[in-house]
Order: sequence, then structure tokens, then C-alpha cells
Amino acid sequence: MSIDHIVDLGDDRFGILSRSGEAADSGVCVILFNAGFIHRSGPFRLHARLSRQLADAGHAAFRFDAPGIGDSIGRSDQPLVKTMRAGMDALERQFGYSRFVVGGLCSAADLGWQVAIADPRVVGLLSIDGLARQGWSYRIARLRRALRKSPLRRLGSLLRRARTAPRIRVGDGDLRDWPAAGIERTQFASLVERGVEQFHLFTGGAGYFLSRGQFRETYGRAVNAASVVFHHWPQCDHTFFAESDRRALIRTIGDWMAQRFERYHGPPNR
Amino acid sequence: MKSQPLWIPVDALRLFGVLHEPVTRARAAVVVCAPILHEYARSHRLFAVLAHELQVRGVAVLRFDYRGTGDSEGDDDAFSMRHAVRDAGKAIDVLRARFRDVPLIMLGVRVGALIAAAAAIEGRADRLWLWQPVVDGAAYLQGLREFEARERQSPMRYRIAKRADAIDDASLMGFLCSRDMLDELAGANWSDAGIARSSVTLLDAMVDGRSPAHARHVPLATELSAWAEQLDMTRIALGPIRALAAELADPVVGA
Repeated sequence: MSIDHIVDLGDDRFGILSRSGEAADSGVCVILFNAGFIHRSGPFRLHARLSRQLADAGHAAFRFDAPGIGDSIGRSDQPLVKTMRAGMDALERQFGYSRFVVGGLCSAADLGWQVAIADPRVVGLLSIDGLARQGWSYRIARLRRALRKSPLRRLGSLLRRARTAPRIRVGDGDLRDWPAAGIERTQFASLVERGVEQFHLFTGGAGYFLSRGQFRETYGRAVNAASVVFHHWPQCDHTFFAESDRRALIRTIGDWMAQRFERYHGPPNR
Repeated sequence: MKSQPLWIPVDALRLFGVLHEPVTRARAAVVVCAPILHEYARSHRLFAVLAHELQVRGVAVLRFDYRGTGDSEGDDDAFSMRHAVRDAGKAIDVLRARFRDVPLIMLGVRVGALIAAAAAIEGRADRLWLWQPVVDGAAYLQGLREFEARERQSPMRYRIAKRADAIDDASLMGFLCSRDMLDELAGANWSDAGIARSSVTLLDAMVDGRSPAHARHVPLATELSAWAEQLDMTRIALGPIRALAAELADPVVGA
């Protein structure tokens, strides 16, 4: 049975740490960043539930609000990655955790990526609807989808696009905090080299991801590494609106954590 | 100016709360009864900022999550209207223990207005601030069911594949709900009985024949009233929130 603890992060900010009530602890702490502007309990309470289930299985999990989101009233001029690493420092200082799995959904996946690159304490990356480029795999998948439509619907789509197409096209990379195209391959390979466990999942709500081939096309051959896990759930939306999807996600992440981070009798200060 | 996260024990569970305590002696104390489901998530930041602005003006504010919601303990389907009233009662106890001699105000938001009113009827609150109160539970429930059905069919939500599974009866706006809760919501209606009109401030964009009886009406700017349908979470309207905090706080702190 897990229990939640309030953790003071200073500067009038706090977070909630879910820990196993038993002595067994994997020594790994999962940090879930904000999904967009949704506060720390997550879309449809996903983070609160996931944290508690991970804690029940012996993996601590921490959720907190970045400056300017949820209960973190004040904004900050400090780079977000620095703020997140300061959160890791607090967990290390107060509870003894020094191995972290970081990330989450959408912007949290982007931030998790940056923190993973920057901080050697990160041993796992949780990326849901994270970075993917729209290369040939995407174009072919899109063409296939268009061809599946009836000619009338295709014509309707074309007319709608013609009417509403912006003069300047805004791509997903413009709206997200992604590195310049091409850099992600080197960064991905460096994470593999470091032995960072990677969990990548793309939902059907990520309109920029249509085909499994995009994953390899984006990150290169390093996706074949044993430390990389990939899922594509086209039937699922971006925020896990359906309870069955939330359950499946929690179960899948729980299984991944169990396989990749063995339990041992724990480290941290209790 | 510091906010204090805390746990509130109730039955065998702990509710999560945040107390916004003024630096100087509090002149009034407010318990916020939050809205529910998607409205809770959409408005979380708005009421965190409003609580902070009231705190700055000498009003203590306690925000809390009902059991089965937010960071409080309990599974999603542990939430019910009946339990929420009990949870609000425990929040009142916490605030009363710290601020004995000041007016206690219940701020009830949307469905939270029905929960706050129950405390007022029990004589545990001095004033009621009702924010866009839900007055007809059955109509509200019906609206949410239609909203959910549209979401399930939305090509914007399910871009690649349509959902094959039918709508789960126990789901409302994507949240898992107990049958009890849905029945309670369907039967919940606003009643002025037992509530002193003089104690009620109504915060709403407009007033109509179904609005609760009130002594004071504070019109809400669009930035503060449109969130129940759609809130732009990227931009919180700080100016209107500050103006509203002053309008609410000044009469109770005697500014």
C-alpha cells in the first residue's frame, strides 16, 4: 500500500511523492512533469493514479507543478530544465533518490527528453506523444488514409483545406519544444550509449504520427537497442479520455518499470 | 506570502488541501468547494490564483480536493455528492480551528455551489459566495452526457481510428463515476430553503429567474465566466482576477 508525502521544493512550491508503504523500494523515482497546462494530478487524474500504482509496485513517483502552472503561483525566469533538476536535487537531498525516470505526456515528454540529455542521474525516459518527424513514412501513411476515403469525402477534405489553409504552415515542431531537425538522432544514440531505458508511446491523437516507420525514420538505427520500447496506439486519443485507455497505459508503464528496474531493498532514506 | 499544502483526515482517507494564509491577521476565511470533473481541471489554476489574490488582501483561503478527485486519496468512483458535503465539513473544521473569530465564507463553484449550500444550511458558514452555480442537476448531467457523446465521436480527439467500444455508463466527461454519484447529481436541485438571502453573493455573468436568491450580484467578466465551456489554460486573466478579488475581499475585510 503506497502513501503520498508532501515535499517542500522551496520558493513556495511543492510536490507529492508516492512511496511504497513497505520497506522494498527499487531506488528509482519516476518524475511526471505537467502535461501542457494541466496541474500535477494529470489529465483525468492519470498522474495521481499512475504514481500510486507505481509506488504500490515499489517504484517511488513524484508529481509537481512547474512555475506558472497549477499551484506554483509565481513564474520563473530560470530555464525549465534547471528547475526540474532542482526538483531532482530536492528528492536526492530529502529522500536519497539518485536514479530517476523522467517525462510524461506531450510537453512533458519534450521536457523529459531535455532533462534526460542534461542529467546523468536519469536512467529512464517516459515519452508519450513525444518528438517525431514527418518524413516519407508519414507522407505514405497520409496518402494511404486519403485513398481510403470515398472520392466525395476526399473532394470535401481538399475543399476544406483549400478554404482554411494558412498562408504560413505551422508544423508540430514549431509548437513543441523540439531540437533542430537531425539533432534528435545524435541525442537518442547518446541516451542508448548511456544505457538509459526508453519508453516511447504514440497515440492516435498525435496527428503528426501516423506510422510505426516514423519512429525509426526519426531516430535512426539506435531504435533497435534493447533499452528502447516502442508502442503505437492509434485507437487512443492524446489525453486518454477513455478509462480503458488509462488503465491500459498504467498497466503498460507498470510492466515496463517492473521489467527494466528490478526491485531491491532500498536505498533511500525512509 | 506562502501557501501551505496539507492533508485533511476524513473517515479512513486523507484529503489534499492548500491553505493560503495571509501574513497579517486574517479578516475572513474562505473554503472553496471546487467544481467537478473536467471543470475542476479547467478551473484549477484560476482558483489557485484567486486564492492567492484573496490571501494578499487579508483573506485566508482553503482549497481542497474531494475524496476520489485531484490529489486526495480514494479511487475515482469514491466521489459522491454526499461524501463531498462531508469532506467540505472537514475542511471547515480545519479552517475554523485556525481562524476562530472571523467570518467563514463558503465559495461554491458550479456543482460546488450545491455542496457549499449544504454547509450553509447546517449553519456552519456565515456567508455564501456562489460562482455560476449549477441549479438543475438533471439538466447539467444531460448536457455532460451529450458533451461526452460528441467527444467520443470527435475526429479531433480520435484522429486515426474511431472508438469501437461503446460509452461506458459509469463514465462522465471521461471520468469514472459511481452509479450513486450519477443518481445524486441527477436529483440535485438548487433550493433557497434554509439559506438567508442576505448571506448570498452571486458571481455570474447574468442573473435570471432560476438564479439563487441573493443580496449581492457580482457580474463576472467573460474571461472569468467562459471557462466552464472552454478555458484557455495558457492565459490566465490576472487583471480580472485581481479586480474580482478586491471586489470580494473589500467588504469582508472592511477596506
